Amino acid sequence: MSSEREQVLAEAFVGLADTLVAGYDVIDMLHRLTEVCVELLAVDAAGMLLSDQRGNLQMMASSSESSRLMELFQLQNDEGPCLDCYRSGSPVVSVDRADAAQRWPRFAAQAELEGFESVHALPLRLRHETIGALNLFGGQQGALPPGDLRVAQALADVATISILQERAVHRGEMLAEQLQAALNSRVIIEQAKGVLGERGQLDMDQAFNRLRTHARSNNRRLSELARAVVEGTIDASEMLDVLPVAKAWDPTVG
Amino acid sequence: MFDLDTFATGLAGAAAQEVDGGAARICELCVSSLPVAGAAVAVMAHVNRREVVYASDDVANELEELQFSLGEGPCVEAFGTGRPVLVADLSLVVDPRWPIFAAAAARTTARAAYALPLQIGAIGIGVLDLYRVRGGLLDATQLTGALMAADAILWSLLRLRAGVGIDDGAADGARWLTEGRRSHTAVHQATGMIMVQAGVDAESSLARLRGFAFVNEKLIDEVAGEVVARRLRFDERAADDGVPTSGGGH
Repeated sequence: MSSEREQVLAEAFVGLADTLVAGYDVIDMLHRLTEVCVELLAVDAAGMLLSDQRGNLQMMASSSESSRLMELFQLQNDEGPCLDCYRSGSPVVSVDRADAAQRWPRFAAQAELEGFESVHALPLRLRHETIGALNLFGGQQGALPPGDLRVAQALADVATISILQERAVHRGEMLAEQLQAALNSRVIIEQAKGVLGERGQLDMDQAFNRLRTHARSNNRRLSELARAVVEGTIDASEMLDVLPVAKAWDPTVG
Repeated sequence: MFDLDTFATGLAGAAAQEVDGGAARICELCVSSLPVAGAAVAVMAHVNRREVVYASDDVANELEELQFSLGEGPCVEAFGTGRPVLVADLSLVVDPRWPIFAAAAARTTARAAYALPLQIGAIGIGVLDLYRVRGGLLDATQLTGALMAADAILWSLLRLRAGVGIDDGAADGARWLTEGRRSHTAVHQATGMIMVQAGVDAESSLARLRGFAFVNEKLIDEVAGEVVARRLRFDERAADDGVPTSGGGH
């Protein structure tokens, strides 16, 4: 591993650890994590799916909110590497299209549309339980180097910890409580994207970016802000009209 | 032995069958199928305004009333935080979240309590409360069943509150449960969009979406997809008689 890459890796983990300390938003954290995957690893897109404890996998975060990418993740409730990984609790690797087409025909067809050649799925595990999986998509054929895979698994482990939070560790029932809270936060964010998208005539990706930018520049948790948008306790026009001048009011935002 | 498939089929039937009795029937199903002694449903406008719409027995009712009068307890916590609250031992754990309730609950026969919020994102309408006389937790499969029961009650109550008649509303709660393995992402996005188009709150918005899907014999996800793609609008005026407009706007 080059020293430059080590530096990037170290910074990424420091950044993630920082967000874990206090008052972090789990969905925001998971999004950041998928972005880190794309920055650090030889992959072009990353997404995280969690079990909803009702037999389905739900998309929680992705390196891009592109609706076509979401489609790919949603498909995995029927078939795909993430589903296999979740069920087996073990990493699933598919190095080329021919292999993927054989194992998951529908998934492979959609992945081909998106221009992906390879896919890796790594489990989000807590002791003996698998709560979801991290998906990594590459535009090139071939498996990730072992070093990359170890980094990816470490990032998946960070995701598990961030979902559970520190107080969860000693109480088994907290897993269900935290997981359901995280899943519901994701739903609130989708509802808020709809409100903002309609108010500002934005697509859902743009709506998400406005929401996230506003949360960051105002030091608010993403899910709390999303709830305020849906409940109408914040004027959505703040997020729609204002160009990124928020920095001028908040010098702490970098 | 709890069988999830049988339970899910029972839930779909109960949700489809009747408008006002849906919550009661689902509670009865929980008591007969899950290892719990009683079940209750509290509908809440906010933490201090609520109504017990069903309680399967006196203890279930008493637990509701206690929390209502004390303003604390697992149900209050579940509604306020939007997360399930699973208490394995009510008698031993004096939870700092509900010190007075814990003492009062110890005088009932209830030893474990599970409070499951009835919610979809920012739409939160109440809580499903389950209790049992011996301590411990539900196992993973039983918890799945309890979460599905909460979903089914939510749909049953949404239909009731939206004033949707039994003829058009029947089976749509069951549909949500059986529509397959979906994320319903578009449904949540469309809920937000229709809120703005029709000038209604999230709950009414979802009810309109669902009503339209039912009347047109489409899946709610399909209709939601049309809304997100901006091929279907639910405008303010048109929404008065529940008729959305097609191809408007953009």
